[in-house]
Amino acid sequence: MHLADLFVALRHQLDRNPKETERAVERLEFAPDDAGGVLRRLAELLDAGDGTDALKAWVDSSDERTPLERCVLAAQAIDQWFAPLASRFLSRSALSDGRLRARQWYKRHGRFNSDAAEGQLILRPGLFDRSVNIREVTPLRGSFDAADLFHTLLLLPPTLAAECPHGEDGERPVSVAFHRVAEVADQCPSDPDWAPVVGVVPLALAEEDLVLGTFSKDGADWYAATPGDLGARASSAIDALAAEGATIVVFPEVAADPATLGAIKAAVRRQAVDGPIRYVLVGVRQDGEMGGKPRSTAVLLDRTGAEMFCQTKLHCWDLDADQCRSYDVRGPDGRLLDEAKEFIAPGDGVTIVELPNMGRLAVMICEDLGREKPAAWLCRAKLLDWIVTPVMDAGLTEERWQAHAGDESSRAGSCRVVVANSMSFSHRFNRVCDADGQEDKRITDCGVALFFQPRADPAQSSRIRRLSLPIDAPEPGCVAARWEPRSWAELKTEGCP
Amino acid sequence: MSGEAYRALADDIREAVAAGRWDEADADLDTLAEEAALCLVQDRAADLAALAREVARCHTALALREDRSPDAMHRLGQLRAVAALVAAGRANRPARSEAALAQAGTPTAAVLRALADGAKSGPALVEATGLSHDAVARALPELRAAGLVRSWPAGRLVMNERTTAAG
Repeated sequence: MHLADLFVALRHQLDRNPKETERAVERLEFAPDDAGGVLRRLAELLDAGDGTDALKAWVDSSDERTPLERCVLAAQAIDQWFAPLASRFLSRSALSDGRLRARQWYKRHGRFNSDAAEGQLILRPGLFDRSVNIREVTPLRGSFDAADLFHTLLLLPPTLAAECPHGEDGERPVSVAFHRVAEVADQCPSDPDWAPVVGVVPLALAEEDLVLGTFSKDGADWYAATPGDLGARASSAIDALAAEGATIVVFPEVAADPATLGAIKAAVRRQAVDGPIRYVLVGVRQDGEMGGKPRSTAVLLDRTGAEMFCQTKLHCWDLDADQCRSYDVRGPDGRLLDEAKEFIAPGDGVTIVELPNMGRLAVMICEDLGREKPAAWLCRAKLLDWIVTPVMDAGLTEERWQAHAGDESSRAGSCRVVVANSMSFSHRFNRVCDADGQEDKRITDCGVALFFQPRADPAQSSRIRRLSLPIDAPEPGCVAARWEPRSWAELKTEGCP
Repeated sequence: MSGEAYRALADDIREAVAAGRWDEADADLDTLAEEAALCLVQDRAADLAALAREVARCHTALALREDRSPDAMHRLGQLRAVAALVAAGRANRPARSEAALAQAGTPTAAVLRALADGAKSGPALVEATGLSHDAVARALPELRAAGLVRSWPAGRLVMNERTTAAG
């Protein structure tokens, strides 16, 4: 049996009886020196030739401590054995034959364990945490989670729960995949002084750039957002952001159709050799297959404009009566709707990508960031460097839900969060304000991007950077900022709606 | 080393591959690999970063060419191998010397001093040193790699103690 497979087996045993596991853990925390003594012996066992078998024999047959305490200690000994692979600083212990084989397997398969059906056993720290591991200096969280026993390894399950669409009862499984991208890189995200420039292109600058169509079907009212042909504008924005030194460029949710995506690819390709852009994430409306529902997707491009992966939105954003009124969502007969469901086919999987030029990244499209599942699990696992969230909404502020959800996710996940928005819904909102004689509520300075830097110290606040464009004169139609959170404002989110 | 020299070397490789001058391309690739090794051995971090930019730029330019001939792909593969070497060198750093880590006034020295009276968890080290969470979180991995601190989990906590190497 391989060491990683033994870890997975032990991990399952701990999950089978969480209450007993918690009690065993409390006993170990009560006598840390005793735990240290056992772990020192187990480390010597693992460094011997038949380490895995010897460790398994110790778990199965030793009369030292309780069986569950032995499971915890053995799994932690394995976790420690892998630790040199998750550190930016080289140590002699990283150079053993066994660890070389482990690195080889990990790079080939994106996991340490043999059987993908068991999930993917991966390095828990993203690239940022290879040199600064905040988790080990933050106080323990109140609730117990067996995953927190392990600082190096994380077992990513094959599926996670997601909510069913349109408020239907129950949950549905969505697949989870970790994908380690192998590509030529010139950025170094594991360097704590690395500070990329993040650019955002709202793209849909006017109301008519993103048409909101409505129709009735199966006894319900639906809406569907359809972007116009904005390829030329997107290309200009890519050129402008390349001149500003952007490392990554983000386009909002459903801001592009396939033709605009093609134009973006061509623009990125033109900048590929001498430009600074390493990745572009584009929110794309993809037509449904065989006349089915369309999909809201986010397509990641590399520096040559080639597609790397595609994330489909998991949760629909169904509008209630207040939202229909705020954004003037009317049926084909001109009637203001009480409710409008988003006409998209939800996705059935989450992909986490590890990008050599950026770090470990997950895309959570709009509503996916605010939902409990699976976003909360991914944040709680603290395995991400970045969450990128393309949205379609009215202007971003430091008081609206995106600020609350972004801050929560950034703090819970100990990761950076980028939210990118278009401007069409702000124009709709302003039109309603004008009709109601509420000019004072009009959006003038339209928030198109929010950046969140998690706090390192629980006593401090997270940092936020809001980027905006004047709604009546949005040219050049893009924004960018270097990731330098020390100069950003502190975020106070108490009481966010 | 200047960035211009790396740019010129990488451009020469591009031109040699584009013209099918394979001997020249191989000679230049050999020089590039040699320079990467020297940067690593001599720990020239700034030069390694400049080299990474030029290798990635050259690789991108060659990858975008239409030429998929075995000769061209062979050189592209060599360039990729050099890029992997450079990236690994930048992603992994040696720990500084014990003298540098123990230098008075540094976070690493403060952590070592706080551990003089026994093992402590990460949060306890933050409290004992008065340093920020970030500073302690940066200090511990390097102290471990230098062999000056040994760490182990006790339940959910990570305990840290000075080793005998940390005089």
